Formats: sequence, structure tokens, C-alpha cells
Amino acid sequence: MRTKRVTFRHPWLPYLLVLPQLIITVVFFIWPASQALYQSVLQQDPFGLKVTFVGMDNFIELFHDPLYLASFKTTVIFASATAFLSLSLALLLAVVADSVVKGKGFYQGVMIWPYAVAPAVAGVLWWFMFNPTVGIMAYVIDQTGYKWNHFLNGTDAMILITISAAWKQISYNFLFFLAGLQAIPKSLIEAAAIDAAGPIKRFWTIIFPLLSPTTFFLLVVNIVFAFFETFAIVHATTAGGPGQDTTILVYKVWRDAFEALDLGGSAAQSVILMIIVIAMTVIQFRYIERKVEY
Amino acid sequence: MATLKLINAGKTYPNGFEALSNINLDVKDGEFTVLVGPSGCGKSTLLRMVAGLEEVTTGDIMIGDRIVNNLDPASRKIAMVFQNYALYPHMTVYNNMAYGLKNLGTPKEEIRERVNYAAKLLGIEEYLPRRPRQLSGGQRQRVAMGRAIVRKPDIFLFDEPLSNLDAKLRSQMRIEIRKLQRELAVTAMYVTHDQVEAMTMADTIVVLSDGHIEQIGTPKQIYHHPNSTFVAEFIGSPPMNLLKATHTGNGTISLPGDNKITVDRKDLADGELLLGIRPEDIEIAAKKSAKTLGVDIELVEELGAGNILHTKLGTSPIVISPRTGFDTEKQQLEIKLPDAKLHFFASGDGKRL
Amino acid sequence: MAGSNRLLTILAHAILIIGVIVVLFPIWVAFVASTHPGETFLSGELSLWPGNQMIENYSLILGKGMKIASAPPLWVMLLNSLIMAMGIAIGKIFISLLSAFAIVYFNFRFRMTAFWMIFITLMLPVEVRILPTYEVTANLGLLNSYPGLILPLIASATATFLFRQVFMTIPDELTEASRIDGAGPIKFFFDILMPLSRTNIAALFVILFIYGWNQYLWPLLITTEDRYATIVMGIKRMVEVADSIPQWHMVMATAILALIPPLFVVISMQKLFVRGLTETEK
Repeated sequence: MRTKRVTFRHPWLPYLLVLPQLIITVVFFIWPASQALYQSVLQQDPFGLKVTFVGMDNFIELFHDPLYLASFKTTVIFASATAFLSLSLALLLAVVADSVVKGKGFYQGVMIWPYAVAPAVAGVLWWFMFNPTVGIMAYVIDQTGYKWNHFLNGTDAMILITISAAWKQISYNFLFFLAGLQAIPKSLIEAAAIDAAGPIKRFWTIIFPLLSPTTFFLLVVNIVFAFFETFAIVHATTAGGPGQDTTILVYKVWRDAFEALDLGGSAAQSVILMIIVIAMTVIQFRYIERKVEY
Repeated sequence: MATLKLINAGKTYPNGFEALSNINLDVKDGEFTVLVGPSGCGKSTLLRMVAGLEEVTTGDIMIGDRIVNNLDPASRKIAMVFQNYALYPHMTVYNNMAYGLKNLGTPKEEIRERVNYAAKLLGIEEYLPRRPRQLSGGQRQRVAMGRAIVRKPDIFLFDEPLSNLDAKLRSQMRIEIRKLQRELAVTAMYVTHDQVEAMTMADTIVVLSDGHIEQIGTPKQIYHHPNSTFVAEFIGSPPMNLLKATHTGNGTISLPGDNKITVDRKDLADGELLLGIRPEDIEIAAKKSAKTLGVDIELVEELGAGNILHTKLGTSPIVISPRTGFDTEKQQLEIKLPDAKLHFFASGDGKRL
Repeated sequence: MAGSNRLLTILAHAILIIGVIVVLFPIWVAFVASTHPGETFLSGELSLWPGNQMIENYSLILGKGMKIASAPPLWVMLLNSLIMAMGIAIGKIFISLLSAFAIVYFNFRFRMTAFWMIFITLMLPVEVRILPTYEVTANLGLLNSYPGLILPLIASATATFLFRQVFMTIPDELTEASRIDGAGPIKFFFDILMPLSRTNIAALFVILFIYGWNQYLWPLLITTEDRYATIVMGIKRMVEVADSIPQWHMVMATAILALIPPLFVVISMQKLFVRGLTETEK
């Protein structure tokens, strides 16, 4: 790690300076995370009276549990749908916003609104709009002949949380795409214009490839968001239902721990999630490093 | 005001890299010393060791009669002007200059007096309430000097202070710095890689190479009696010509292209050596004789006031800046190498013979 | 050529306006719903225009709370949210500034160890270690308390990294100049480093305030007493009741109140916000 050419010397000041953060990190991060690791190899009865070491049993059990595998599948579908929906909408809007001369500030000003809205609140807003009896969206859909009901239909419920999550992420994606677009040298676009490429061709052959680092970065960020930060959306709206149809992994970790009291199983799930986060972080860092080299 | 003494000073980094070794230097009170050398020669490190920004790993540094090796920069009574000025961007010019005095607990009244005095001296009074970013490069440079002046230091340290300025401003500031230093009669140490700055400003030049001192001397000594090919090539523009030559005995020297000259140096050992001559010391002969050498002109650089000729003696390039006129139509030229202006260096280590 | 350009511009604005509508529509609908009397929803009437019950609805929910949901007055929850958001933002900035300063400007034993211990938190969002973190907090007796709401969320590698980045861009010469000017580490920190990082601190504050305000799972877990409920978690309680006896106007009023403060911060500090967002992630 790089350091400053000039450093101060002091016998105890640096330790005092890092102390607050280290205490919090150890108490609320490292200790709990190692607890999760430890508990993931234990089996505890619900009353907490007996604990036995079971090795990898919790993990093996998980991967034989159809509910867990279903939850995995649900999460993957949810994350990819959310990322795709949010990224493509945000990209379209950013490209268009970048092209207009007037009103750019206004459009950007509005596009960042959803960022301020808590995921839980975003979920409730859409949940209300799609409510089969009073929701305006449900009403509109009913007019087409389809009977919308996310309380009974798993697909409807999945669409609902996907829209909520994607809506929430639009701000973030829009801002990054816009920044990415503005970083493309104008001379390149002008050169393409001289080469007489039409706007759509210009986009796919010049702009989109140049944006690919941003797109990749956002893809990772969106997947991480959908995997981990959407707990509130699910919990505040569908509560994982109907049945298990919107039970994503983070939701299941929470429910197994706090409602089913399956501590070992929940800890094992935590460990798997940690591995996923770490993998994502590593991918992201690789990307950032590569970007630095340019 | 004080003397500065470096006694066997050296610096080895924790990773084992020896940046400087065996530096011995004696700077008299009020003297302007310039450290010059190519990048990476350790000149800045040496200056920073004097400032207290780098640790001295061997030897001693004395300011006046104090050994300052373990003193904090702030307690060494030094002031430093940095290459990029290092002005605090969020403070006004006044506060930039006053900051150090405030930290020393100087009374407000005195701070104001000193800052105003320095500002007046440098002609920056009207900029006192401004921020550095509202100033031009030259003005920032003056503020940086003002910050140094208000401290009333024993020693003024300059770390390539002019390299961020354009050529015109640079030559103007060169003169100003020198005048100011004389006026304040303060000891100064100045680092640069620009030999013109070194020649024009210094009382004493210290030429550094690869972490050791190549030569110490007045600009004249350095220019006319370089101790080594390194100094010979580094100081002077265009640099000194160095020709591969062989001493065949009795002062007879054979040069590239089957040429021979005889010199009055009986002490030279037989064998290979390097013969050096400055471009302006080469004389152009009117006609060919036994004492002249024929060179082919390859390129003539017109400077207005004079010319620089790029020529070849056999296969070796020779640069000439003639003091007399010559026939520009000619493809060939007869030159004379005056005995008194020749320098001889060992072909191995480049030391003066 | 000029004609087709004009057409393209019109098309562009059309797309953007649709985008704006998509983004704003849910908020508008919620606002409209919060201004109607409760009976509107029983009859299944839909309206896209505000009703006349705005003041009644909001004053009721802010002042008295919702009896049926046995929810406390909303101003209590708003205050709690404010305390939590401010606590998290200020706390994170405070500890991150200090640790980044130590890591960048000091050479000390265990510097790398400290760096890695902080770094690793980047990889562990609260959701994945939720149960053990809850247990630790419970063991420390921090359930139903402000420290319990705030402390577990303030250790952040992101903020430390951001400040490290900012400090790395501050020229070494400034540090050296200040050392020659007689400033020790603490003086340097306050006189030079802080003023130079001011905008970054402000930008990060905006982001962290929103982060703190929008927390959901953590306050839900560790607060069982109404005194400590935050508004974002409180909305869940309203919703659950709404299932049996629809109180949509109240739920939506709560939602609007929950999103106004962070929205206000984002809008009023748009530049800082955009800067903070793009910088923290890079």
C-alpha cells in the first residue's frame, strides 16, 4: 500500500486514532462474522440447550433442501431481472438526457429522486399501486383482461418486487451512465458523425463499447444491491410470499434465524452469502484496478 | 544568519538504497550555494535532510554551532521554498505567510509587521487578502518566498523554485532571488537541475552525481576546471566536446580520423584518454596547416547573435560555437584546438588528468 | 437534416418526460392517497387528484399516531430517524477521518493489520451477519437504545477509503511546509487537512445521512419499544394493519413523511450528492 513521503512520528497518537474504528469493527463485524462461521458448523436445538459439532452438515443439508435451492433460483431471477430492467431504462434515459441541450439539469434533478426513497418505502409505494382492490396499476392491468393479484400469484409478486427494486436503482444507474457518457471525448462522437453513422448505429458501435466499463461496474453494483439490500422491499411488501415465491436469500437468512430459529442453518446461509459478497468485491476491485491502469 | 556544515553526512533508506554518502560541505555565512545535478542524483534529498524533512542516517549536519540531526524542521531556523510553492490553498496570502509565526506564538502585532515588511519587499502587498488560486505563477512564487522571509531564518532553502515558471519569468526571478538574498544577507542553499541557474546564481556550486559530490567550486572553477567528464558535460551549453584519443608518448595525441596533435603535457601516460574542449574554445583557422584539423560541417544552427556548428572529425561529432565569422558556404572547415583550453580525462573513470 | 434533428430533439424530450413520469408517478400517487379520507379506498374509487383531507390526515398521524396500529405519534419516529441518520453520518465521518489520517500520515507497527481489519468490513453488509450482530448488540445491552441503532452501522471501510483517497491527493509539500511552519500532527489535521477535505466531508455526509435514514432491517430488529421506532421501519406496522382494515391514507401519509427529509437533502444539495455518490464508489 502506498504511503505518504512525509509521515509524522508519534509514540501513541496513531493507535489512538485508529482505535475507535477498530473497536467498532471488531465488536460489530469481525466478532459476529466469526460467530457466524463458528455457528455454521454447529447444530443447536431451538431452546439453545444442546449444541453439537456437525462439521459441514449444515451446508450439505442446505444444498439438499429444495426450499433453499428454490430461494437461490428466485434470487438469481430477481437479481438479473432487476439489473436488466434498471440498467436498460437508465441507459436509455441517460443517453437521451446527454443528447438534449435544454433541461438537462431538470431531468437529472428528477431522476435522482428515487435514491432518496428508502427501499422499504419504495416497496410500499409500488405495493399500493398494484394493490388488487385499490391500486391504480392493478386497475389499469385489469382493463386488459388480466386479473392482477400479487397476493396469490407468485409471478405477479416477483414482478412487483422487481419493479420496486429497479425503480429504486434508476437514480444510481442514471447518474453513473450520464457521468460515463460525459467522459467520452466529444471528438470521437464528432468523428463518428463525419463518418456518417446514424444516431443508433453511432450508439452501438461507438458509445456503447466505450461505456462498457461503466456498464460492467453498474452490473456488479446492481447485483449486489438486489442480493443484499432488497430485504426491506420484500419484508415490507410480499413477506416472501405467496408461498416461497419471493423468498430471496437474505430474506431466508433472516426468517430462518429469527422465526424458524434454525441457528446453524441460518449461519451456514450467512457464510454462503459472505462468500458471494467477497467474490463480488474481488471482481469489483479487479475492475477498479484495471481502470486505474488506463 | 549562520554557517552550514555537513560532516560525512549520508542517507540510506530502510530498503537498503544508499541515496547519499560521505557528503562534506562547508557553507559560509551569507553564501549562496547551489546544488546541481541530474534527476535522481540526491540533491533534493540533501536539501531535505538540511530542512529536517529526511532523516540523516550517518554523519552530522550543523547549522551555526548546533548539530541539528534530531531537531524538528520547525526548530532548525530554516525556511524552505518548494517547487510547487506549497501554499495552503484555503488560506489567504496573509495567513499563508503568518501561519508559521502563529504556531510559534509570535505576538499578533509583530506578525503583522513582519508580513507587511516581506510583502512590501516582494511587491505583493495588494494580494495579501487573496487566495493562492487567484494569483499567477510568479505571484505565488513571491508569496512562497514571503512565507520564508517572515520567519527570519538562519538558512534559506530552495527546492527547484523556478521550474514551474515560463522561461522569461524564470530569468527575471533568478535575478530577484539573488538580489533578495544579498539584501537579506542570509545563507542560502538552492537546488536545481538547470546548469544555467547554477552558473548565474551561485557563489558556490556543488555538482552531485549518484549520491556523491563530484565537485565543489565557484562557477568559474567548475566551468574552466571540471574535475571529471561528468561535470564537464553537465555544466555548459552546448556541452564540452569529448573525443576519444590516444596518447602515443611525448605529448603526441592521435585523434579520430587519423589526425594527430602535439600538446605540452609530458606528464600524460601512454594509452587511451578523453580529450575535452568547449565549443567556444575551438578556433577556426583561415587555411589548412600542420596545426589544423579538417572537419566536415553537417548542420549549422543559426542563433542570431552567432552560430552553432555541428561537425565531424573523422567519425566523431564535434560541436563548435565560433567566436569569429566563417564562410557559411563551405562544407569543410579547418579548426585549431588551442593548447591552453584542452582538458584531459582518464578514459576509464573520467577523472581529470 | 435540420428537420430530422428537430424531430429527434422532440423525441428525446418525449422519452425523458415519460421517464420523469415513471420516476415521479409512485410518489404522486402516494401523495394523492394521503390527502383523501379513508373511506375513499373502501369504495374502491381511484383518484389522481389530491383530496381535501391533507391537513387532517397529516396532523392526526403526526400528533396522535394511529390508534389501530397502536403506533406512536409520527413525530417521535421522525425524530428517532433524524437522530439515527445524524448519528450514523457524523459517527462514520468522525471515526473514518481519524483512522484514514492514521493510516495515511503515520508509519506505525500494525498499520497494515489495521488497514486490513477495516478493509474486510467492506465485504460484510449487515444483512449477511445479522443474527450474530444482533446477539452482540443484545449482550452489550444496547437493544432499544440510540447507541444500539447507531454504533453497529458506523464502521465503514468505504468512508475510510474515500478519505484515504482524498488525503493521498493532498500534495506532500503542504505537509512539509506545515512541518516547517511548526505544525504537529494534530495542528496539521485541523489547520490543513480538515479545511482541504471540507467538500468531500459534506458530500459524504449527504450520502450517509440518506443511508442512515433509510435503514430498515436493523432498527426493526433491535427496537421493540415505540420510543425508539424509526419512521422507515414504522411503515411496516401500518401496512400490516392495512391488510385487515385499509388505512391507505395513513400509510401513504407515513410514506410521504418518511421520504421527505432524505428527498429534501438530495434536492437541496444535489451537487454535493452527485459528487458524493460518484466518489464513494470509485
